Amino acid sequence: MERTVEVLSPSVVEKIAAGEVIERPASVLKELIENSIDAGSTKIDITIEDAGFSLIRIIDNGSGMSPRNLGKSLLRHATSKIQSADDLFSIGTMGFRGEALAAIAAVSRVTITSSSDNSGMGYQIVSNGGEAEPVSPFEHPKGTTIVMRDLFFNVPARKKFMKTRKGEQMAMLRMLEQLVIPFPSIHFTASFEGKRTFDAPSAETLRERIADVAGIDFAKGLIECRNEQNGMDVVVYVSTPEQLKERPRFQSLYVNLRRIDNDSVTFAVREAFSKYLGASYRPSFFCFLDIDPSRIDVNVHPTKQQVKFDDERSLFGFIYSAVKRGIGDVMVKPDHFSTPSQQQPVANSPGEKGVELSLFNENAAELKKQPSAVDYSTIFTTAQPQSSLSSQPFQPLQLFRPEASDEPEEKRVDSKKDSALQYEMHEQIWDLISCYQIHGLFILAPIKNGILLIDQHAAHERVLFEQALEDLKRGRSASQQLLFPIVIELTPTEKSVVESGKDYFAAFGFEIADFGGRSLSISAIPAFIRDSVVVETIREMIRYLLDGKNPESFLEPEKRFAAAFACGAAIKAGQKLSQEEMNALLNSLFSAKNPYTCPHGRPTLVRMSLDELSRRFLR
Amino acid sequence: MLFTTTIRQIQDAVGKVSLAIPVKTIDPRYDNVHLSLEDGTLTLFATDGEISVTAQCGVETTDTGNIGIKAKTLQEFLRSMYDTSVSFTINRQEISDHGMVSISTDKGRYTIPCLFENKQEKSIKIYDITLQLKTDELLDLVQKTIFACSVDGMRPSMMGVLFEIQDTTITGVATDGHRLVRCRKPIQEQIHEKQKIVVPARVLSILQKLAQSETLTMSIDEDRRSVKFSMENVVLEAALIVEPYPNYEAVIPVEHDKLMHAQRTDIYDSVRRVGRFSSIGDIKIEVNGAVTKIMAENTNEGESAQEELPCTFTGEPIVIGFNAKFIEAALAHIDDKEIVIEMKSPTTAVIFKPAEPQEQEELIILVMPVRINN
Repeated sequence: MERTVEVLSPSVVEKIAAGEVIERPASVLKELIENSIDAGSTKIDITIEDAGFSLIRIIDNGSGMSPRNLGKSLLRHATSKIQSADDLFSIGTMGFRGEALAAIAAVSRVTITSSSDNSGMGYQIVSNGGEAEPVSPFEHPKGTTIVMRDLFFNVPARKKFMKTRKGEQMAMLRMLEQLVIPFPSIHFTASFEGKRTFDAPSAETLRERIADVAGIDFAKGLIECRNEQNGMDVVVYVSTPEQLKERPRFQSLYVNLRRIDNDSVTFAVREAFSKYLGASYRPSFFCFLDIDPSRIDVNVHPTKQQVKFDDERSLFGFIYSAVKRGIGDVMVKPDHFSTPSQQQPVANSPGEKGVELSLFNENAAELKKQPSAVDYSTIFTTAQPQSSLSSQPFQPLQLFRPEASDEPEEKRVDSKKDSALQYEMHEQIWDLISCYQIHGLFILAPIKNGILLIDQHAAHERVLFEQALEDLKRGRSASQQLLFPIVIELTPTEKSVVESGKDYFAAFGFEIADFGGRSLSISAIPAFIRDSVVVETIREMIRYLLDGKNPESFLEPEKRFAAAFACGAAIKAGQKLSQEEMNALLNSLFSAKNPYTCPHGRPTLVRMSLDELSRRFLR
Repeated sequence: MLFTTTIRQIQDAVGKVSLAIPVKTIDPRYDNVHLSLEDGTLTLFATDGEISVTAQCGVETTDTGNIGIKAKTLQEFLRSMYDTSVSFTINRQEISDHGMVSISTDKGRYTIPCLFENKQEKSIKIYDITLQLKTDELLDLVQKTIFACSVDGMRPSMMGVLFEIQDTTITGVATDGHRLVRCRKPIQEQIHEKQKIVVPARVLSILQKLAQSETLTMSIDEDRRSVKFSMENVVLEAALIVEPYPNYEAVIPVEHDKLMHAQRTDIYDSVRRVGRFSSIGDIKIEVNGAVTKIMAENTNEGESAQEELPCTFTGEPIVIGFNAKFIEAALAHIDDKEIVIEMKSPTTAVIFKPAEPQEQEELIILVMPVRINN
């Protein structure tokens, strides 16, 4: 029987429309904060309960709404921000579609109380699943308070598709961190589950606001790049070469203060950087682009996270030249490339007997770049002060263990042939073999019938991954207690990642406690890693866990955390290794259950036989 | 410019100042040893920008002038020579700052390029604290502390030894965050206001090589930014670490309820032997009554070791883990035959100290335990 075509009821239409704008609690939070920003607020206070499902409350001191505007605020496509279609191309506010409040109201219980003057009196409107009651007078200082309760109470199916409470909370924190950055003059505070989690006091500069979110040390080191051309104005804060990581902490583009995803800009910054430092590194950056609104179309998607540019190619060139010039200016000042620890500890030292040392000091930082310049192990005449344990990034943890791999999810590389290789390598590694490090990336090792090329990071990652899984199985690994805790400054999102995985961090040997604000203190570390890599290891772990690009086999949290730990603590590209360290790594690798791939399935080694080498030389 | 001296004299001076020259440098100015002839005296000077060594060498000359010579070349030549009389004749190339040094000995003539330099203006620095110290006492204090300095740059202040000087006492403190040494010794002078400076470990290791005279003078400038050690014919000057030193006193346990007396060399030897059997260098020490067990294992390989030592122990039995290397280093820097180990719990700092402290010297070494998975 043919089904009849019916026009949907307004309430169903509203719920469908709400689905486009309001995907999850973070979307509600984003829309409400944007409204507060558009209202010219200087202080915005956020309260979240039950990851936003029970309560999201925003209190601002903005312009507030008159009873007339308040009455219309929950209607669909009701907005004060545009009047006609032409206005779509001159939008200067965060919102404009007039959809958000209506969409939120359709799937939750909303109470808005607002006052547009300083009389102390305002008005309130209450809506229950989109059914609004009349506006009534209510006491309220100038500004607006929006209370949203019971999100998705009338669309339970949507609730089922939400992530865990922790995941939703993290999504809100990440969104908040991104949203607040271009508004340094606004004081943002946020409490999650009764705990003050976020506090960004009003600041004078963008750099200060970045410091509030990303930490003072990180913000201090950013290079400022500027460009101005044809109605476009850009400021890019980009990380220094020392802060470069394979996995950047931030890559944020703001177009007319709106956070936007755009690959061209990311690519332009990377390209500009690669001129100096190779393409394998990805810098963190914050790009603030001010562009004539008529040259962009923000009305591409309801979430407004994408815009169309009238000329994307010229945008690429514009950003590229800004960053290239900015970095180029810094590259000629060698001081910028010495680490803070090298710049700070020592004062200038004027010379003795008429020789002016300050003459030399201008280049001291450059000189200090070479770590081998201060090699105490060769200088000290006293009993060997530094144990080899603490001076090495890793230890020969295990010797040969010839079982076959029990990890079917990871691809095996020619297992039959390589099982023989494992024996062969093991035989050779009992004695030190001469290895050669190539470009700080690979280890070249001769074997009986050819050569092996080993990816040092992938190999160490494999070793640590298996060890971490073992530690998790046993409950806890050996952990070196510290006399002076190491304090690490994180963003609220990063901090919540660590807190949510505290047990895993503890199992790997980290003892971590809240240090107040955005900081954590680390009072014990895995027994085999150096103090100097602790902070970076934790940051790498967080980045890894936040990235979410894990193989499906890592759905189990144990494996995900073990892989994060292995990735964070493994020796990095560019790290120099001694003969002993290279041998120890090979030894540990060939004792692993599956030495041929890293936890993500990348090969750890490439073998080239003598026959193949001979063929290449036409012998 | 001409001067005459002996190989041994100039080799000694060049060897001393070259200690300031970094192993690797990309700035050629740091490669050079600077020679200055004035008033019949040859003054040699070298620096890495933060540490400088000045030495004087007896010469026969009537000339004055300033030149720089590549230290490595000069040092290698002098090392290869036997002790004999040597003359240096320096000639300047026309319209250039470059010149050549002709070295004449009874064996032959050698030529090294040099750079003519201007006489550097002396910077004015006021040293308001000056201490006359017995060299062997200071070196002993350095030797007992320097091993615990941090070698990674994460916390720069820990890359040096903290010297606290007050009344008639000098205290040296060093830590890398895993262990801490505090060594206290008497001095002759009286310093009323407590002074705290952090001297980079590299400076102290150079001092260990330079200090040969019976006494030396340690001077601290009024800004507390540089220190000067003056010895016979040699002056070592260096920038201090200005970053605040951690509050080390707060981490020294004041209470302990477990006390162990043992023979230092017995424990040292046991830890060395047993530690070799550990997979990650950790050992377990179990003290119960009059017996101490030292254990290690490598579960992956099925290797293990255990030794038992006699000791005197008061308190509840305890099992505590350590990095074997830290224990070895701590025990290697205590002179006494018998030591005392003070413990409280498996996660609090353990104190190692001599059972019978030397007269007027106080030494304690803290080692943080490793929490071991049982």
